[in-house]
Amino acid sequence: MNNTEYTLNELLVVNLYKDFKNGEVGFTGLATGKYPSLYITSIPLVAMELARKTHAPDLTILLAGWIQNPDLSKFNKVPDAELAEYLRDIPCESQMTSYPGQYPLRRGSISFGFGTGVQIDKIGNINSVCIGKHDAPKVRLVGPILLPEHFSMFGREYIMMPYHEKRTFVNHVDYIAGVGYPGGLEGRKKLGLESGGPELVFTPKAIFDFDKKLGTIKIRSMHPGTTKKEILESTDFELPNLDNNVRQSDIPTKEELKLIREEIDPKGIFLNS
Amino acid sequence: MGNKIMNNKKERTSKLIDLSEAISSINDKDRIAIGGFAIYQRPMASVREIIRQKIKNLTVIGVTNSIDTDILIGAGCLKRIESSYIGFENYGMAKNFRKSSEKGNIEVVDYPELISFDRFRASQENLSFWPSAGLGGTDIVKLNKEIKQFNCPLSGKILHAIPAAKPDVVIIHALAADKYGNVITPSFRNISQSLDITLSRACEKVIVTVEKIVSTNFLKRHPQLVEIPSHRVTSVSIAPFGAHPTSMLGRYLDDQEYWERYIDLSDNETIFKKHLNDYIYNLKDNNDYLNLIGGAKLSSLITVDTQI
Repeated sequence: MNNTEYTLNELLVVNLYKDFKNGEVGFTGLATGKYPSLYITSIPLVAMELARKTHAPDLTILLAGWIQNPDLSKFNKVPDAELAEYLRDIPCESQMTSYPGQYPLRRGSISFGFGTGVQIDKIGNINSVCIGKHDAPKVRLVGPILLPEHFSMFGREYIMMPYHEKRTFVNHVDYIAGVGYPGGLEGRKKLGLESGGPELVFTPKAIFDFDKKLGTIKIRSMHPGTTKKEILESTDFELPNLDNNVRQSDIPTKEELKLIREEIDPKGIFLNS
Repeated sequence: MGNKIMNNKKERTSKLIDLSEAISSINDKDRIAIGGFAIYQRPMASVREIIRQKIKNLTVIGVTNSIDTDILIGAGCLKRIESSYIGFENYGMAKNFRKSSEKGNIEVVDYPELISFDRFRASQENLSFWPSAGLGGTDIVKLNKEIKQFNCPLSGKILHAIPAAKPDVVIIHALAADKYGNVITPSFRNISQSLDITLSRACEKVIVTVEKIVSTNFLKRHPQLVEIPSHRVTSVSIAPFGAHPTSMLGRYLDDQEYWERYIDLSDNETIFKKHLNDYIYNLKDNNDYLNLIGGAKLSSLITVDTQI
């Protein structure tokens, strides 16, 4: 690979890290499965470290809810088990081991997090619980886990969807685990949700954001090579702004690629998996 | 009066009993809280004894659950689970749980992760509910009639009352205890161990298994590590490797080989039944189980920590 070629994972990283502000706290959890793990753990970790090495040196990485600012170069694999013994031995600035209360999540101490699910809908609701009706569903999944908190207590949520298909981008999710924008920001307020909510949605094809007043998802940029036809064919809801003015997602610069490849992920543990 | 007492001096009561006797105090239909967290430090010797004694129609109340719950479902001991997560983290999906819920054979009540913990804090504080913000608009509240919306009497904000966990019995696995039930929790802790301490304060029937019974004198060298004191403990039983195949922090790792085998065999009902026969029903106790797993295997799982 020469200096100007880049991978999809690197492209996602550079479109993500610019959104973080100095001094923020970013929460990344773990997921089961290669692609969910890539999207909610690996890409966020590299993006946060890139932000720390550039415009946001005071950003805090909160990994798996208990490890702060881990030394990413000491990992031999992507963390895949929340309390595995090898995580205890990764050098880091802080390990908070009582639960809960190790971080005042509900006071708003988490600026942003990363979440995924089997379905997302046009108002940004997310589902990690079941496909079909809740009692005797067609497919039962792990449960809501911490997603309800992600979507109401974090400052904002980045939805990371490794599969962009009609079955995952649906009109209405089968189970609302994390709440998007029913009735927009006003609608959220009426439900008692005074802050937070989904900010951006990352997929292998494009990036979406929200009209938070109307409460609807819209396309923000398409990755190079993605066509409008492809977006239409892989999304089950309408995208009113999918017109000729859709811009292209940012392409990684030489400097960004150098930092990612030489300093942050030299062994390719996170992005080459 | 004084003489009467002096003539009736009593010995301090030992709470050390066989695990089979401890578990026989659990009743059908009990609400049971299982110590540990996700795939870590689950009181599996107690879980296997529950299966062996064929205790039925239990409800598990948990925060995050894994093989502890999945094997109870596969053995037909469970009718209901209240939790935020039932899965095996890096090992994948919990198949008995998945199949049973898809068939509608068990009732699944979903709670968010932190709120699942709050439910035990409510029980610890002897409150009927814990107040929670941020649940509006979720199907968690829509589908759960036990959760009630209310307005904060001080600020007017929308909150939800989350029912307390109300376990009838708590089972936990710990490093060591004396025979009176003073339980040691080593100083390097994680969510699993902190949760166990909270569970011990949230119920009047607390069944503890330990790797080792130690003398009260040993324990008095580390009184600050005894956060589960004797008076909170109903019984203590010896169960070495009692968390197997899950890990015990600073003591032994999880048995990856067993986990991978479990994932395969829980795919098939006949093979899973045979597994229950071979590893639980046809065995007398935890010692039989350890012999079956094998000394070399168990030794290979031992790990060390410099902190106690």
